Amino acid sequence: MENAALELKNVSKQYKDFTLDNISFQVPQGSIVGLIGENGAGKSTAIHAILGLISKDSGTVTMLGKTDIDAVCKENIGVVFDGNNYPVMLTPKQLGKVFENIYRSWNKGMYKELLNKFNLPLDKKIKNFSKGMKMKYAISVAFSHGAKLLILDEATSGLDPIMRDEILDMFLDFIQDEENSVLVSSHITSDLEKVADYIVFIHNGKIVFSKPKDELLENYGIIKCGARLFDGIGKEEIIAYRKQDYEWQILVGDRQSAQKKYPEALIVPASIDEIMLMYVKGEMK
Amino acid sequence: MKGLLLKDLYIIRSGLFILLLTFIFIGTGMAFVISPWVLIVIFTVTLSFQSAVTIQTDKSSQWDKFSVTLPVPRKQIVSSKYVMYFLLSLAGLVIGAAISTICALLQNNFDAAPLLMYSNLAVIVSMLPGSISIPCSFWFDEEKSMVGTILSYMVTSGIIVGTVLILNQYIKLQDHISMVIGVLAVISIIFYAISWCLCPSKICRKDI
Repeated sequence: MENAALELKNVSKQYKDFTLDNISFQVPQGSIVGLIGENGAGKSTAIHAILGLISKDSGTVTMLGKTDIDAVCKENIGVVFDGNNYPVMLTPKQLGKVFENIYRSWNKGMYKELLNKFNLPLDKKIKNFSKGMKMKYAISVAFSHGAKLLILDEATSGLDPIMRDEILDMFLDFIQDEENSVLVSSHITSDLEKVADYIVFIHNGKIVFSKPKDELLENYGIIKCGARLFDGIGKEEIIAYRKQDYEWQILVGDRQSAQKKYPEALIVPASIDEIMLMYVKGEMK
Repeated sequence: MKGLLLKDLYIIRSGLFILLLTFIFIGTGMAFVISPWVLIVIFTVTLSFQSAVTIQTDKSSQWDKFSVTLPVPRKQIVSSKYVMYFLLSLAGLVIGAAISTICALLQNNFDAAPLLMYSNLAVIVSMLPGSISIPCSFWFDEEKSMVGTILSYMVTSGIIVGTVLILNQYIKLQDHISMVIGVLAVISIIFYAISWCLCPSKICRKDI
């Protein structure tokens, strides 16, 4: 991978009932990395460890060239958490003044432009915003201080498809500057299929894979077959499988080679959603 | 830090107007029934308490999480609460002193000695609980920190009563009450300063 805006190496954090287990991945500069995984897989814990909200038991996080989060110039980081991020009794106008006094690089013009673009009223209290409006507001703030690395935890959840599309386009515009990068965790894998350059899949606190999205979509496939063919498929080729009502579904990492080997099999390209589902719900041979 | 203080000020301001209006009417009425100087204590405690409330507001709105991502050291985020608490205590003291002085003047009852003594008492009942309730609010969840805040006022009352009872056995306290309250006020400020120095670095290490 190219120069990394963010790099996690063997990061671990142990809780009573959950362990973030030695996770490592990178966010290369100029790219969008999608962090996927089911609820409770460890996406938010990983993001919290990156941002220094929780202490790590071991491992290192290198962000914009610094390993100590306190040494990172936080002007260069834009963060959006799931749900609300700001005191609900304040208005965007008041919060704008607050941020003006916090960020040296605060761009008042950009802030107002984004509020206008998203139809967010300046004088309405955040508590009267809908979930989507809160998310749009958080994204406006993240884009208003010249951040080079955006970290978004479920940022597109709660938004309608049109608004999601608009925000995804903003991410794509953002990374046109090759110094900029985005790490976005999401349940909505179709969003990531549209914009992400890399997909990091986390399951039970462990990284299952960290791969270029195109490689996943081009190579992974699902063989849909009956029991006879299933028994004939080599163990080494099967990543995971599921028994459905009338067929077996088998996730393979190289669908072209599988098609050559088993010409009679129906092999369809696997979406990220399906890959995730097979890893989580499927069985390993 | 200016931005953080501004944010707290906006939060406090949203509920403060009604609170102040209530206290001005109730307090002024009370001032004519009991001693007007009690207003100094009431105003100081009420205003300073608002700062501790903002810590819970930050938690419930997830600002505590978001603020860690701001270009402000985490220590400064905690320190800003101590600064705001101190400034609000001072504001309460000044407003309380002004209103009680007006009430005392209206009653032809102005005397600098009770003004000083009640001001010192206000310092005790704001600084001492503040030194306990601010770290409690950061450290514990909403319910536990509320218990901590209540306990901090109980501890303060206990210290005042305990000191009075103990000293009463050795000196004639009535003759020295202003001095004792003054010394306790200084001790309270020292306690607050110690809490301010020690707690931010410990709270910074806490997971959010």
